Amino acid sequence: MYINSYLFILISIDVFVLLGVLVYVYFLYEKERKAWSDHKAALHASEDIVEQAHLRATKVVSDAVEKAETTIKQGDYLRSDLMKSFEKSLQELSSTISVNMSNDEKDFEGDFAKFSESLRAEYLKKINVTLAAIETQAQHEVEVFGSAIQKDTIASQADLAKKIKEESDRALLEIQEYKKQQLKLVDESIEKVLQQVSSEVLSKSLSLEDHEQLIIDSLTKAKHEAFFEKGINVEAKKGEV
Amino acid sequence: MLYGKWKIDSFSFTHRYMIIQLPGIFENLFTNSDASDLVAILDKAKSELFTSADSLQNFSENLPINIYQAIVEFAKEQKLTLASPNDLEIIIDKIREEILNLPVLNLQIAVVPTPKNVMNISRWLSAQIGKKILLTIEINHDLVAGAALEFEGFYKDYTFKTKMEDYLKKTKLRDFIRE
Repeated sequence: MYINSYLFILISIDVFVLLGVLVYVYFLYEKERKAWSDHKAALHASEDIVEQAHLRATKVVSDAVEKAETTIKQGDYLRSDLMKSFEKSLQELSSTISVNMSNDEKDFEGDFAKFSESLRAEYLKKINVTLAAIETQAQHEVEVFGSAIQKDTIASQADLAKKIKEESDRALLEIQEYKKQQLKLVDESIEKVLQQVSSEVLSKSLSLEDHEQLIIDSLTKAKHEAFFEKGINVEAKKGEV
Repeated sequence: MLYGKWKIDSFSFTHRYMIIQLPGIFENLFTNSDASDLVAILDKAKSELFTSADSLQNFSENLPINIYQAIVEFAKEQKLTLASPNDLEIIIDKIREEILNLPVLNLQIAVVPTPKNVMNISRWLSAQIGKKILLTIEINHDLVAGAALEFEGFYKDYTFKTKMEDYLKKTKLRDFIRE
């Protein structure tokens, strides 16, 4: 009887210890499971962040491309408008300017110089307005881009922000480069138009008699420059040999 | 070639000098095309010299009056007779050779000239340069005004197109825009 009581106490203690171990193991298991669940949630969250950042980056880049395209189109319009308005003003000017073609070639050149200066002054007036518009537009675009990049990348990872910045900087550079090219084209076109309109106006201003006189002026110059004697000299040398 | 012969061929020089002094031959020759026409007339006249008994009479009738008068004067100077077809042949050959040896100035101009314009330019040229020079004329409306000249392998551009280009280049329009 006494022994049985003793055994019962020992068994109870074992069972109690076993239960304790089981509870501890369960606690550990739960802790691990929660940690794993948290980890998974964190993984999902980070994937979402990356996805969002990627979407934002794509949008910023596509915005940049869109803006570049818009600017390019505006540049085309500006150039086209500029050329149209310049040509129109030159035509108006050419109809009002009286080019009194003299029979003296020196005066004729003077007239052309005066005429050309008038055209250039008119051109300068027009181009200054257009250039100012282009400059203002470019300045505005840079500011808008800057704030868009800052806003869209503030919550993203640093390297992603850097990448977006690089993309947008490249887009800006492309816009600037395009503008340079457009301005160069404008310059070249202006020279061409100036020459075309000048030619047209001068041609219309000259009578056949003026042309005859200008041809004789050319021959006079050639004579003074011994142009007709060069052949003689060459032949004389051949004869001497 | 003409002037090279001056020193080595005195007969040729005298002959040329005589021809140049006869206005009848060159008076109405302005362009290379005029010269070709005259050479064709002379060739035709020459080919008919020995064809019939009336050939000498036909000869005078078939030639332009100024050319015939020039031939008469030239024959007198050279002591040749117009009654001989052989002499006439010599005269025609000399004149023909003279015409074919005339220097040619190629004129590039902006407008189509009238015959009067061509005559004025040609006469001015002969008077100023002191020798007969034939013209060939090329039209290029882009030249605006003035002329580009090509003569015995040399070229010179006095057109307003070039002047305008030089002017625009010189004034540096692009720098002007940037200012």
